Amino acid sequence: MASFSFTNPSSGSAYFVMETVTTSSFYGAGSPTNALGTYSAFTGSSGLVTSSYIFGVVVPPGSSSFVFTPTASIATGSIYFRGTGEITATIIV
Amino acid sequence: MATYVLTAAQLNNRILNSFVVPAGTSFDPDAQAFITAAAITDPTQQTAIDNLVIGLKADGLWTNMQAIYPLVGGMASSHKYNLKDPRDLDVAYRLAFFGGWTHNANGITGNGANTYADTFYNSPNSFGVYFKTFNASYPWLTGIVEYRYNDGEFDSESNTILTGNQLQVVNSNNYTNTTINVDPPYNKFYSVIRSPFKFYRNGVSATAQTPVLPTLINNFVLGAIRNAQYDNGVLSFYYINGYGSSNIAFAYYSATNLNATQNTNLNNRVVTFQTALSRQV
Repeated sequence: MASFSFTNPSSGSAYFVMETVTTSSFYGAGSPTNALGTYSAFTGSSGLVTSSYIFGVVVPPGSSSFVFTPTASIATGSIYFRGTGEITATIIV
Repeated sequence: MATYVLTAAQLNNRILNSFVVPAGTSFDPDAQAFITAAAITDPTQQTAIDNLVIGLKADGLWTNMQAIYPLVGGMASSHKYNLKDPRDLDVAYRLAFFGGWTHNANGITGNGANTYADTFYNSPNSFGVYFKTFNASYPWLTGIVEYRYNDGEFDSESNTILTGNQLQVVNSNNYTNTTINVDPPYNKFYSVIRSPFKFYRNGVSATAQTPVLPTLINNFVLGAIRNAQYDNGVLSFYYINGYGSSNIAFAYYSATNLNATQNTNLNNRVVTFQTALSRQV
């Protein structure tokens, strides 16, 4: 389980994405389904979009958070975190 | 638990995770719902809640409960939730805290001056409180006093008040006034059953007295006493007094008259729960 919390100091929304690392140009057999799981306890965060390999959320101005509980453990070095704007992400695992 | 802070510069350029994100443990669905609502992230607390739910279900107690307050998580935002219905709503019997409560890993502690929590639950046939500390000056745990007036004339008083060292029952319908005193030490788990009347302390019957508990139609409060006045059958006003200062670590309210076996089992589950959280008396 991982608790994601965000700080967005700007006045506009930003975006946060977690995506599975892949060596090919598309996800398929052999790619871990790192984004499968449950998403809960949303505070402020909204606009969740998920697939088996990627999720993205809208990060509104100020503070927001949610909890992601993956179906299977996510290995070190198997996902990228990306963010737009000036957001800071704090991840507790 | 470990905390990782990713800066804007790192996120703008994308950053590879340097840590494992562990898979979720499979909890009982009702336990999971509470854990999610109350944002319980500590694995020890999560497991304690899961075991409590599983145990209550195994004992056949789960369906008999309407309000269970595990008071776990260390914050008001976690303590307020009802394990049976973890919605943030009055109709879900979510606690509403008032006054200067202290919230920590041991549960909730009143200040003896202005603290109470509205349960939004009335007319329980069983209720109980697990508490860790006792202050003779501020002993109140939960209860209601109801005064009734007809055309301005006093008609009756009904009350049920549980303190750390007494259970007080006034029932004007049969003109009884009963006070059941408890021997020290004043802590652990008290449970009160309407019919047949029983007052259990740590799962063991604590008295041979058999007062008739009145039907109280106002909301019970936790940590204090609600006084409600009815004029010609209509709630006129209420006020809170009897602000306690005990450290409360669990409470329940039920529409069922729990029997002796159920009370023993409930006590055992609650003690196991408190022990798992290292806050047993």
